[in-house]
Amino acid sequence: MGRLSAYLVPVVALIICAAPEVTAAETVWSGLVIAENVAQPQRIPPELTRIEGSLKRFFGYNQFQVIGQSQKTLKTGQEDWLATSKFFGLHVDARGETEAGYVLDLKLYKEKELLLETDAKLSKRSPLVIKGPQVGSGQLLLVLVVQ
Amino acid sequence: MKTFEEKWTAWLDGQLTGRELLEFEASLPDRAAAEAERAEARKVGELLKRELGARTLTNEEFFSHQLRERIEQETGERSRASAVRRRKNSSWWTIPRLLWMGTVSLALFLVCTFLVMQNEKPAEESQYLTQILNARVDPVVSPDATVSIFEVKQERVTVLWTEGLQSLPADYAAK
Amino acid sequence: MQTEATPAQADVSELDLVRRCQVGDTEAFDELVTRYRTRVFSMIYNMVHNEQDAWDLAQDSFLKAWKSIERFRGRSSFYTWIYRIVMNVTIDWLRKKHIKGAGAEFDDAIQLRQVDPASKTVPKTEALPYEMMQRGEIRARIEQAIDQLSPEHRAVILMKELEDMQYHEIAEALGCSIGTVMSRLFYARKKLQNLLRDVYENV
Repeated sequence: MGRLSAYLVPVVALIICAAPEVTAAETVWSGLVIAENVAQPQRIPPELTRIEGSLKRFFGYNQFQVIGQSQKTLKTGQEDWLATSKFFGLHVDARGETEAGYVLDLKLYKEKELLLETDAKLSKRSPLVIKGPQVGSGQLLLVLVVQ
Repeated sequence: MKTFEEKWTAWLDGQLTGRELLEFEASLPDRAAAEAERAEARKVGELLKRELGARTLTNEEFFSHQLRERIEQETGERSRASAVRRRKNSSWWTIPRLLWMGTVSLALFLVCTFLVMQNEKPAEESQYLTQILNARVDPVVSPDATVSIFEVKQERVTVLWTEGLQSLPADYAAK
Repeated sequence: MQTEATPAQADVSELDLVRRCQVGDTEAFDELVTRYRTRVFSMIYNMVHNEQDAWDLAQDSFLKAWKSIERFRGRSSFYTWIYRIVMNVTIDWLRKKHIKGAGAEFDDAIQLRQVDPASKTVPKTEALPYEMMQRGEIRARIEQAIDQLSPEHRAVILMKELEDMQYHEIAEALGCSIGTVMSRLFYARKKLQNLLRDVYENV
């Protein structure tokens, strides 16, 4: 038993040291966002902070509110998930991982109606923003980010 | 709580009952359209059943024969592997020695890996921008829709820009 | 020719066969193979659309079942248990085929095109008039449509529509939740409705 401990202790210690270096599975955040111009805009959601400038410049709105979201940790790169609000559903079907990113099939539904379908390679640290339909005085945006 | 898709599927398959059924049917904005859609989905099922059906396995007996041979081969190989292992165990390579050698090798490997990884600059981001491979809008629903792609390389943001999608009332912004 | 057993007898005799397999009785396994080989082959064929591949995958599935028969605990039916193996083997094969670039479904060069800036939407494929379609063509259209589903979506739609399996049986066979099965059925049906509308409306 003593000899066994002598073998195991250094191994376990080295595993523990090496553990932080092991790459964790990536998480994809998918959001349904309503962008609009208001007199007193609310703070931008934390998931969109990094692209706040781009969003404001591109779309010309000063407030972005998340109405539906989903966070999915990809272990195999072949999971599928749904981000929903009351009337919209964003179905994401991950179909594998390449060097360039995750291959995703995205479908935007308004209730049962398919509005838009797109295939994309979502790269790490390169968010995807999709302009959806006009909603009231605002705009529906779909945002996908590998966190 | 079931999503709309789950309830729809259950409703289509006749699996919704009682209060859940009544509530779901009451929530449908256009019952006639929903019933028509359900009828269509059932037609798809009937089509698949009729046209695909059971595929005949030609030469069934040969299938079983071939499988038996593979199993016998597999069983034979496993017995041989066990015999080899038993022979090996009586040599210089005893279990304690194997364990010790394996532990030392693993420890050395982990040390090297740890040191190498410490020296590498951690990758912050992929060199690739997100790419749009294809985009489709239902021409029946949005006949005048167009799609464009923009890439903001500096900020590494890719935008799929649509125009001409049907505008919706503010109620649709509900969470 | 085998005499068909009643459902109760089948369950009992099947458990008995499995127990015999678990102690190495290959004849008992042969009996189980005889019972399920056609259904397994048929299911795999409808997933992969190639006889030789379906044959090989069916063989691989049964071989895998033989190797792991000790792990069958009788908590589900043998039928559901073997379907789990069949689906794992087939879906893995389809995914590997896709990665090697031989699969039509995910092949970027064939299916997917760059969208020109400010271009009109990509038009859908034109439908063939039903009058022109022979039986073989109908089947080919259906197979083409199924090919456009992901392996997991294919599996749920075929298990539901052809095998008449319950949601929980499909979930067990695929190792996912019932909700996921129902959600995948929703999307698979939608896609097939769009792709096969001209076929089923004219039949």
